[in-house]
Amino acid sequence: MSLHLHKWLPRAWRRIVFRWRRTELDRELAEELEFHLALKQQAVGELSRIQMGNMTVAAEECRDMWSFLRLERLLQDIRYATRMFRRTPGFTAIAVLSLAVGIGGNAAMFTLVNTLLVRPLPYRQPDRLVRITGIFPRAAVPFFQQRNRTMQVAAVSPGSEYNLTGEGEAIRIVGSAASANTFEVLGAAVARGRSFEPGEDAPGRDAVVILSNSLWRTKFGGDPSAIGRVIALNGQHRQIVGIMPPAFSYPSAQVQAWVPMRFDPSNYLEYWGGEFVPLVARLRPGATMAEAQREIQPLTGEFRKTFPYPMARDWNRDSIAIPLQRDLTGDIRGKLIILLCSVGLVLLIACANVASLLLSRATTRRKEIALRAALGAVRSRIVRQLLTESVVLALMGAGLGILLGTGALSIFKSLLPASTPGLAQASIDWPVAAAVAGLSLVTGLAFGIAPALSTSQVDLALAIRTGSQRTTVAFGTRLRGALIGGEVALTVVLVVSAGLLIKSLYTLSEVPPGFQPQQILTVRISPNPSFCMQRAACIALYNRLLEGARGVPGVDDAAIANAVPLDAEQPDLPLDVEGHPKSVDYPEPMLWSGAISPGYIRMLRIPLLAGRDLTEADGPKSAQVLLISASTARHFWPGENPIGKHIKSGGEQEWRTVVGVVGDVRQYSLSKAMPDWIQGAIYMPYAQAGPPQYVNGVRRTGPFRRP
Amino acid sequence: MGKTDAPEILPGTLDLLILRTLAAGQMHGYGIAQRLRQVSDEVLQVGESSLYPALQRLLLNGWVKAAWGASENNRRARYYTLTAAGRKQLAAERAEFARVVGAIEKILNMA
Repeated sequence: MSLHLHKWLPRAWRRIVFRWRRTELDRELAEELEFHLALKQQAVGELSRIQMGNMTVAAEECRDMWSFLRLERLLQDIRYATRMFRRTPGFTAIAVLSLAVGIGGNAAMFTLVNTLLVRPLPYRQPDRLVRITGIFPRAAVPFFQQRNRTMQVAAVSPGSEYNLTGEGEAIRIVGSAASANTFEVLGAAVARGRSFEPGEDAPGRDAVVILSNSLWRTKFGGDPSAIGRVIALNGQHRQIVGIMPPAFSYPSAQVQAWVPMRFDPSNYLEYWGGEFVPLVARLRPGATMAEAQREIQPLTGEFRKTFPYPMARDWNRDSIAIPLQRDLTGDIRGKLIILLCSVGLVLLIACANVASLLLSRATTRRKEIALRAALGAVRSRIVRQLLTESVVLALMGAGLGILLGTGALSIFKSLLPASTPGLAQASIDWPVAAAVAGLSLVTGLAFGIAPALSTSQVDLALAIRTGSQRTTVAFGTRLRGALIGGEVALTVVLVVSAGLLIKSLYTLSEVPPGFQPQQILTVRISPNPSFCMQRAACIALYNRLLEGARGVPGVDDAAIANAVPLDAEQPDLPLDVEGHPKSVDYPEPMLWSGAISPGYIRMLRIPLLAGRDLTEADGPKSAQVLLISASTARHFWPGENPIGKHIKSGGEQEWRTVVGVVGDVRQYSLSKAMPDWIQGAIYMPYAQAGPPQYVNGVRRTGPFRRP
Repeated sequence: MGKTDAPEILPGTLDLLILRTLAAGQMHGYGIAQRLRQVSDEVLQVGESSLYPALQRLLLNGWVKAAWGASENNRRARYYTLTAAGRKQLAAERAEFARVVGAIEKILNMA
């Protein structure tokens, strides 16, 4: 058959015309054939039956020629299928529903996988972007920028909370500190205004901010004149210089504003300590991933020696460059693949389910099929009819499945971390819908083929003679047995994995967290860090808040802490521990460092194991004290009495005295007591807490105990 | 598609033969069959079950057109005429046929 359009189109048009004039054509053909017959009879006399039959064949073939035969047969099959379905609504509902569940799950997962794993990052030449694994102090950024020859290096902090004031009502936003070259390195342009200029990460020049599209819309109503206005972030005035496009979501979708990451070598704690940041980079033109890889280790080693305090010998020894996309989807990739496999299994189960339903229905349809065969339907025609039925079933399942998939997608989305870049944009689009349609076609054929073959296998003579369908039924039963076996096996796999998940969830719920969370409410209060630079005023504010909270009806007691257990914010500090000098082989230990008000330990029912609790008497002017957790005591002073030992934080002159030991609390997660890099936990009275920078961190969380 | 009355006629050549027959002037179905038989000295027998579907195919392709007229015995008969497109098709098929036959001959005559 010719595929040339200029030939095919007129032909199709004539067919449509022929179809239109069908009865007329039929009549004309009959007359024509009759004429032929008459002449022939005249010539040869009486005609044989075969010759008469030839006429009928001719008429039939002509008729077939006028119609879109395949299309018409297909339409006829579909009509027939829908009639069958209407007659057996129970069967149809069950089949369509189970297929819809299977297909819907897959539609949702396809969407997620397509959006998160397959679609390239929305930046210029995304394959040239790399992440240097591990995290680095700010000082590493200028170092790497100057010494590195294969990459343009930038740093973007994961984001922390800021108070936004100076523009209507104060709000709390998530902001990320980014080196001035970040947007250039990522290859992402601002939608309005300008990007950071080189040097804007230097102290004194960093009073600028770039807003996310969402923040610009919600806070400034999408007003273009927002650019140039000055807002205050944590009390520091910054001029809005640019707005990012809606699709930009680096380092995460939660980040609403970007401020320059300040590189100030004179600010010891910020430059060398504080928050360590991840490094991203773009390969320089001509440089290869392998070259970049070779450069990272020597540079990291050199940089380690420049630390002003001893740094572990193996610090970031395993840092490598990986493609940025892989970094962004790191933990999610595994989850997605597990989910994709489970929805695939669900679809398989649904297929097996429908196939066995079809098989059992085949028994009741035996008579109908035998009749069709007797009337001259060839086996391929019957198989096609049955397959059409199953494909129609699958397509109905797909239709409902896409609706279900939209629902499932929002469930899956809520399971994944909201900060996943691009997650918000995930929605069932045309490519996915096309994939789903294709999938349902394949599904329809997959679950339909075996029942169709077995059903259409009719031994006419046997069926007519005895009315029994022994042979084929035996085959059907065997097949059904196999299907049910497979289905049970798949279901067992799913149930076992679900059971394992439930078991680990149960185990977690049984883990003693080290405190009593019942009847505890928390409230976050966030004064500007600049306000808390004046320690006396800051402490007075907290005291006032505490008094106010205690006065609220129904509140039994109130306390303040910089972080509550299992919270996202982890106050980790490098500390000096008495009797444990720091060296390259034994670097500064990191401890979870709580700053609490007296009464916090008692209120959370954290057991006091030795010594005394903190009291109101441990004020700013009295001797510096702290509590340590039981595991901290065991770690640093095994077999010794920890009471009276001393600990101080990096920059401090004065040692603090351990006055009490309290029970271990699962601060980080229920599944693990402490991350590997944390060697213990301390609690300081918030009135005495740390260097000024640390008071900034005293956080705003007031647990209340209700009576 | 469909069965032809092979082996009397090479597959695919029936259309060509009909077109060539009609090139001489309009003719009805029975006439075409008769002419083919006569000209081929009774070698080619075209059955109705091949002839009429073939005519329909030619109609569909727009290579012939049909009109009702009076026959020699004064009955109503359908006459087929070659269209311009049909003439072009005839030339093309003829050339192609000659090419194929030439090729076959070459093979048969090889040393």
